[in-house]
Amino acid sequence: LTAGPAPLAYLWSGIEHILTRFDHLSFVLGLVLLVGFGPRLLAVILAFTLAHSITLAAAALGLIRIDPPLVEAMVAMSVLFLAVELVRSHWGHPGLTSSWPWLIAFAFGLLHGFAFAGPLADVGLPRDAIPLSLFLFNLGVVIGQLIFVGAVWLVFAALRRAVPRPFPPVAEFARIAPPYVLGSLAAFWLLGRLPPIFA
Amino acid sequence: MTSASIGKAGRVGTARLDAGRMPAPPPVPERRPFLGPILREPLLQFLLAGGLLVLAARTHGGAVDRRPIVVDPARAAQIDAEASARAAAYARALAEPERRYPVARQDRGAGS
Repeated sequence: LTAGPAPLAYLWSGIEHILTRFDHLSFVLGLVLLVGFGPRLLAVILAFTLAHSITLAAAALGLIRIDPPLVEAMVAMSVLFLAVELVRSHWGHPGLTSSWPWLIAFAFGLLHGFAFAGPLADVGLPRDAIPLSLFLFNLGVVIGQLIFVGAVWLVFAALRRAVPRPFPPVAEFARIAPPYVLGSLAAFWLLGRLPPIFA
Repeated sequence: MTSASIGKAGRVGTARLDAGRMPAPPPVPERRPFLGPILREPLLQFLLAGGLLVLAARTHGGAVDRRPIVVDPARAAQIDAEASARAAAYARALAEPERRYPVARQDRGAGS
């Protein structure tokens, strides 16, 4: 642990980190697509936040260490898993994720926490304000998530207002396309991140 | 009605009862599913699409996953110094005509 920037800079760093990482955002988008904008989303976001806070703190304080390439690959795998569950649920075969989305959010949130710890380790934590800096970075990540969820809600609301009664095949396509895009991207990330693990 | 016709009538009656049913179709050889059910698996679809994306990224010279490359400053300085030294040596070699045209100089010497 080294001396780093002022604690408030960690807040911005957390926001910046989540908003520039498309894999984390894809996972959050997958959760939104799974549960919609209702009370279940609140539970899912809370579970995800709680989980990544635990592992972020553990990794930042050096209590647990996992090989970064492995963490990155597993983050991609979490998005892939979610996309598969979304497609299966769409075709009428809901799985564990549809029944207990908060459980999946918590389990994979633990993984994402390790990934958040990477950039924090690069910056370092100030010796005199470790808990505060950690808290602010985590808060930044949560704020970033909420900004993203808000942006997704705005896009969905705008689309609903612009096309109140879409042509059924178009509506069907609009429902199934996002999971397919997420799944393809996640597979792309996963295949790209596997070689460094074995290097 | 003779006994023979009664016997026939019995058969006809049976035929009438069966007439409502469709005859059983001849057994059709079952089509063995080849890739269809497998390709309907979303996971495989995603992996195929992801593989194609990786291939496209590599074909177009793009990095699969752009991440900041952590460079060791000492190693970077060493590589830089080596490259500078090589460039300087090359420049010196170009500046010396006898090195550029050694054969021509020999010819000139031999001729004079």
